[in-house]
Amino acid sequence: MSTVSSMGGTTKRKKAHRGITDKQLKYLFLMPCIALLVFLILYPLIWSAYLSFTDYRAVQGRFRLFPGLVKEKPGIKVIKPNTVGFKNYKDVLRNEYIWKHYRTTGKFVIFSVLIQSIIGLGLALLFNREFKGKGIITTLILAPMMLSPVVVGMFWRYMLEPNWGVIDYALNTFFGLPRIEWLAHEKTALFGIIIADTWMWSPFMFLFCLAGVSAIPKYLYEAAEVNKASGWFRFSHITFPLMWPLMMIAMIFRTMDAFKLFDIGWGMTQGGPGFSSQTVSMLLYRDAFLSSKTGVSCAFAYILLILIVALSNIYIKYLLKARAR
Amino acid sequence: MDRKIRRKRKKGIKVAGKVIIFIVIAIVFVAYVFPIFWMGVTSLKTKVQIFDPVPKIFFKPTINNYKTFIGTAEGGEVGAGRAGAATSFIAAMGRSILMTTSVTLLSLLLGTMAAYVLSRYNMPGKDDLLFAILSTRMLPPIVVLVPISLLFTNIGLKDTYIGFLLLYTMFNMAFSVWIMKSFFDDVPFSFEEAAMCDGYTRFRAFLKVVLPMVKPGLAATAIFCGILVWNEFLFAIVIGTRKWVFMPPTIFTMSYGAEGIIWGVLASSSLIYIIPVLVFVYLVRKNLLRGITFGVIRG
Repeated sequence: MSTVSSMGGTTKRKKAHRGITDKQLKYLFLMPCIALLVFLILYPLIWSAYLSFTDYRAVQGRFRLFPGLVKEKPGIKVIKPNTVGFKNYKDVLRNEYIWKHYRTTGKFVIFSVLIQSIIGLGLALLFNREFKGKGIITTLILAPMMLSPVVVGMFWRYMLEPNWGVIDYALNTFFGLPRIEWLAHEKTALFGIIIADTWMWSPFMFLFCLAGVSAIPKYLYEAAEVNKASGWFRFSHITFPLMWPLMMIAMIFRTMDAFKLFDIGWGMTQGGPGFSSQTVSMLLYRDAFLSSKTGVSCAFAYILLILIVALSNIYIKYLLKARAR
Repeated sequence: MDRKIRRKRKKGIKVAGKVIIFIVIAIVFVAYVFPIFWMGVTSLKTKVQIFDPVPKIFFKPTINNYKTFIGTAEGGEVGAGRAGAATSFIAAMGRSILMTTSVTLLSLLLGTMAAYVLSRYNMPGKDDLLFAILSTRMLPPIVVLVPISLLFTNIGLKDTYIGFLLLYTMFNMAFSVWIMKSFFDDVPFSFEEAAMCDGYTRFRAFLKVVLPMVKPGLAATAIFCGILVWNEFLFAIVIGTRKWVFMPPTIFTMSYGAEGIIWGVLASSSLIYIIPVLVFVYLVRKNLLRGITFGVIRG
């Protein structure tokens, strides 16, 4: 290549294309990514689409989409499951037990996102000023959301213990509240998870809100000051409307995330007591891997998938709109 | 006179407001940092101190918990007789480190390549591909995990290094492609044009001109991917059943003793486990917003 620069214009062009052509580079660079998508998302989904119409259970033996394609090793049982039509889908949709899990998940999503938004907004307004050590304090507050959710869940389980947990101790000693067995009662278990989730994810809302608040041009406030606008007026007419788009994105993000809650809940209650704090993700995990109702879980997973794809379409459209601005 | 007093009063209110805000910020800070601090405190307590109904901050610390899970305590009162689990902690840590590094490198490589093409070329179906990549992150992982687990069992990838490598790389793709694309989008195309006028091939222009300009992006992407893999729990318990058991499931099972959870071991092992994450979060703090929004918002 070192000789290239000394050559004339046209030969330079030709030489430049000798290594990899533009087109080759394009496909070469994109191929691995597409291959992984097809192999790990598309192919398994087609497979489970078929299985969702059968009565297959993973413990019975293996299932081959193309029998005879590979030589079977001895000791591996290959079965052909019976097709049952839409029975699995009907079962999942009619099951009152599963609907209860949707309600639990919905409750969790609404409460956690709402609480986190309020806290995040409040913190952003509080931190929208200069003070010593702002950078390090902000970073430390943001740290929880990067921790492992299952470890966070387990540790909060310890902190929420009624007898030796530090939260109940503080509430009892400083505020005289009775000690609550957060995770042992059907009514409070979900709320216990919401507390841990809020500790972990309100920094996320805070980060978005802070970015929104600090992007507001200062001259708007100066103008408001000239007109002697009240603090509430400034908030409701300048701060909030201008940060709302960003906050909305954060809320959609959190909604999608809260919907698939698994780790924190699994670390804290594993869905208990009873199934009072079990979300759909946990139920699906139990059905698919602990009781290996494979065919039914495939149908269940597909119903969830359709729901989420619909939701995330709205979400991605909003994201792109926000990016376009 | 009157005016002077009013001015003084105004100043007083201002100072009082500042003090109140300072106190509130301090309370907020303590509320968020306390659980991590408490984890550290708990990890240094004995079993008796942990079960004390009056939790104490000042006590005689012991490193017994650490010894227990690392496997050197002999006849320690916590988690005694769980030497198997204890020795496997170090092994799990090794596996976690190995997997995190390999997945990070691979997804950085593949993600950067794909992101460059998606940032620079126009082609049919480009937006659909970007959506498809992003949607892998939007789905609840359990939904695709059911078929993936079946597939892995069938083709013998379950509980193997390659299986995990491919799986985690796939699920990091959304992050690496979208964040890297946002960084590439920030580099004007004229840089490559200039380089290509100087006789560089497209590939060389990418390698020598564009890539050095997105170094901060590479670092941020690497850290985000790394943290994701390090923290992953669900895939780890479903796919890694015997051989490839990583740290989160190990901490989860190790902390369950005969008589309930051994909190001291949980706290000490968790602390060791989260310290690298805290360090990396500090390193990536400038790009935190960009990272968690898949590069959509450049905070």
